[in-house]
Amino acid sequence: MTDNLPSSIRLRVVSPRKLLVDEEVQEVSLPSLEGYVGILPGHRFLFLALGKGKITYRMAGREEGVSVQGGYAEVLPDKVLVLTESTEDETQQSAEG
Amino acid sequence: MPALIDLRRRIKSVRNTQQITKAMKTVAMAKFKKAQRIILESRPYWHGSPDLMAKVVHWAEKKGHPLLVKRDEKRVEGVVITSDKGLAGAFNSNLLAKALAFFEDKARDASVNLVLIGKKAVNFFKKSPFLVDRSYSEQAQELSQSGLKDLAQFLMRLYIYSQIDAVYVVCNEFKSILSPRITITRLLPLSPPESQEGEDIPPDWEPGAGALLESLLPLYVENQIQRFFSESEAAEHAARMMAMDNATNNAEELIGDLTLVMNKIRQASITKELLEIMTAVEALAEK
Repeated sequence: MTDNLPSSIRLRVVSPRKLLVDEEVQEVSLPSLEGYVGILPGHRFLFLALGKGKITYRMAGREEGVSVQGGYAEVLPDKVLVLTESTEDETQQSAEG
Repeated sequence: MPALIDLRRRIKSVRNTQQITKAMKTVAMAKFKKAQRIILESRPYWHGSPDLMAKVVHWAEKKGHPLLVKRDEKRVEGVVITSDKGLAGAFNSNLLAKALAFFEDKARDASVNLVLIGKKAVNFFKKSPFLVDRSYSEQAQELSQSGLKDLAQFLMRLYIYSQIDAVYVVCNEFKSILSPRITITRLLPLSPPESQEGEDIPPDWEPGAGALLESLLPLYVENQIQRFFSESEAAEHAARMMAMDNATNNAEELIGDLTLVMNKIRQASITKELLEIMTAVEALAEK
């Protein structure tokens, strides 16, 4: 297994309103119900329920984040898919609109 | 031969109608663009969420869940989604005809209750023998997220307490601008699509598989209802846009035809007057 570890993770964060993130990342941190979980490439197959918090991800020296209000994540060795209900960005948008 | 003034009046009234249809078309177009944007932006989610559900169910199946239990269809709950307003071509009538046929077929060996969304559906099913559990009319377009959530919870409650054995949703799905597609979907019991990926290693769970299943499935149902609703909305605006476009074109054609007739009549009357003058001049000249 150690020979063919993927070098990056395809991170996708989607909400019913929008595709929020679609990036190749080196590391991602997810807000689970019991605290933050750091995911590196080659992680074990995992289903994770998310709580309120911020998803942060690192890629090519940059670090970015997106806030979520809960949701579900599917973690595969080379892929992380997050389905979230709402994000703070959206609540801000609707408050402005 | 109709009088000139009558034709003028008719042309004017057709032109007024045309202005209205044109305005409605513009409004529908704006609303449609908004609805379409929402649908397009949420597609990745709709693509991902059944997939995730299927995988979770696949791995947590042994835990079981009341929403997954299949029963003989003795009592069927139907959800019909239409629009409040007409003037959208065959958008509602096609859907209602199909829904009626479908539920009449179901009613042969099951009792059918209905949940109706949209004034058109409510009016249509007034005359039908089916019992109506809930109806949303007038304010259906403003039916908020919480209203739909409430509806989803109502359906799930009935299902879990074995009051009903299946839930079918009949609605228009936005396929393309030219033609909405009528879909009949079984919402409950949930039937997750077969997971294609042959992952052999059982996954880790956090929290446990049962807890995850318990919170994910109701959410999935709520989202499905939400989705049907926005699909129907986009399809409605697209249908109205097309209908109003046709109406505007027809009005244009009608105006053209009427103007032609009007010009012919005017020409005829001018010729007649000229003839009269000529004869009068001739008669004077002879004297």
